[in-house]
Amino acid sequence: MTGFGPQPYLEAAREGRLALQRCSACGHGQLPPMARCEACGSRELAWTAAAGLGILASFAVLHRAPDAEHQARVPYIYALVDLDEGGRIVTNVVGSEPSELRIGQRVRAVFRRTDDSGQVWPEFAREEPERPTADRGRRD
Amino acid sequence: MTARATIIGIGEADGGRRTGRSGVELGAEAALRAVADAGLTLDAVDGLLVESPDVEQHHMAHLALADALAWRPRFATSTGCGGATPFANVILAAAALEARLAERILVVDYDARQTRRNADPAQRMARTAGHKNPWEDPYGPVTAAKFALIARAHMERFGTTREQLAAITVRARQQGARRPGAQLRTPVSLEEVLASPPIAEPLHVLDCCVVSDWGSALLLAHAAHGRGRAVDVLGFGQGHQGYAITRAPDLTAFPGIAESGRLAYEMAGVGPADVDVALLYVSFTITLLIAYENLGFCPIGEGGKYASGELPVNPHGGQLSYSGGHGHFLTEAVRQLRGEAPSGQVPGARVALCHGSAAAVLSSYTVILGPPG
Repeated sequence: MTGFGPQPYLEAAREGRLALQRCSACGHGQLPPMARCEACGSRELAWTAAAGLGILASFAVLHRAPDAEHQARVPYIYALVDLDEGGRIVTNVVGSEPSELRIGQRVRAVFRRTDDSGQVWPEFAREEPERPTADRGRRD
Repeated sequence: MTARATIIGIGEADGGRRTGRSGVELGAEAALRAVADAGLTLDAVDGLLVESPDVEQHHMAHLALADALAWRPRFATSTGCGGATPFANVILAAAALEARLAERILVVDYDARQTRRNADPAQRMARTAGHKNPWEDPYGPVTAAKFALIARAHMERFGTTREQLAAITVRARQQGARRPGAQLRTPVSLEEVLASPPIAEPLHVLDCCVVSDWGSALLLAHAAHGRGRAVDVLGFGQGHQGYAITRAPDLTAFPGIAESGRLAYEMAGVGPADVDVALLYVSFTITLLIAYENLGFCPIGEGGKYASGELPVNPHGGQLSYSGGHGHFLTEAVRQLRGEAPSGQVPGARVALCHGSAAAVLSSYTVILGPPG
């Protein structure tokens, strides 16, 4: 079994790429990484490249922050993104006003934010101005 | 119905906002009151289950509390299941009693979250600095953020409104206003809730539970000891989807809660329609709505409409008014079933459902209580 620490993900982010864990047995993609495939239970997992494209699953507009770095940025957008290859991650959406965002919207990873240690933290930005109305499906 | 255990005493410390007291002092006060309520002394109690406090003495809280009580229990453990801990500990106590690990067990939760929290915001923030969890911390999460993700998904998918969520706070404050000892006893209007400052939109300040100093305790014994003012544990269940919000593939339905409720209903031999009074954990307004739906009180998606319905819920005001503590949902259920609630008594209440959730709403414990025999 290979380890499932975040290092490969963090290294890829520093190079401006998004990585995800993929099951060698069934092909399932997952993020955050785990010790087993959440689909088939296999322990044969490898890090592979993701395109960095996904769907905005939900988002919150935060006016209070847990740390000084984020306090300087309020209001900021805390979000959950589903990657096209599989995997669901917590992130920030940048470059859009909250009123421009919709659940189900296409988003793309951006690699602009570097912390004091030099680590790049992937964020997401709106990929299209607006998703097609027909896509809004389940809201009846 | 076969009782699994019986609750023979309850106690609450004189808590509230910024009492200036230590958590262990509040816990000891609640514990001694529960023992006295049962007409016993601590010599007759040999078990202790304690919630690990958040801001004070995480380390071996069960022993710190026993020391404060000058007491040596023969069975003692502390557990950490977030705000659902006392609910989880009632289940553990029932199992421990059955295994004869102890004859009478105190379940205690306490914390001095107002008094002991760091007065310096920068120091408080430092707690999460350093990006300990790379999957979350770099993105500035606050507790309300995960609940806001769930609230937004519910609003988008089902058309739930902020007004429907705000009505939950309005009702909680109305009920708490009548309850002596409730922390927030001022009623609020729908407009005031809507106009309160945003925290994690769509949630605002008045969608959030209060922050408190508190202590609460229950004394449990074998089911055979249930008589008089005792209240029986009729059923319980739990369900866990995960800890991280990323473990919930659908933010509008929570199978962990549904499983927890189903197991408890089955064990107690009752259904949602038999529940006379519900004591539902309400860290945020959306938490209550999700509990209604996933415990089967109403269909998924209809919690917004149901929230202003007939079911008596949290007659003491719950966490939006009474206290930010955790065990008071269980002590209130006992008062309701004894017919001793000082306000909001549900006439003739015989079945109380208590629900605690944690890890946003991904982790769930349900306890169903009823009168003995």
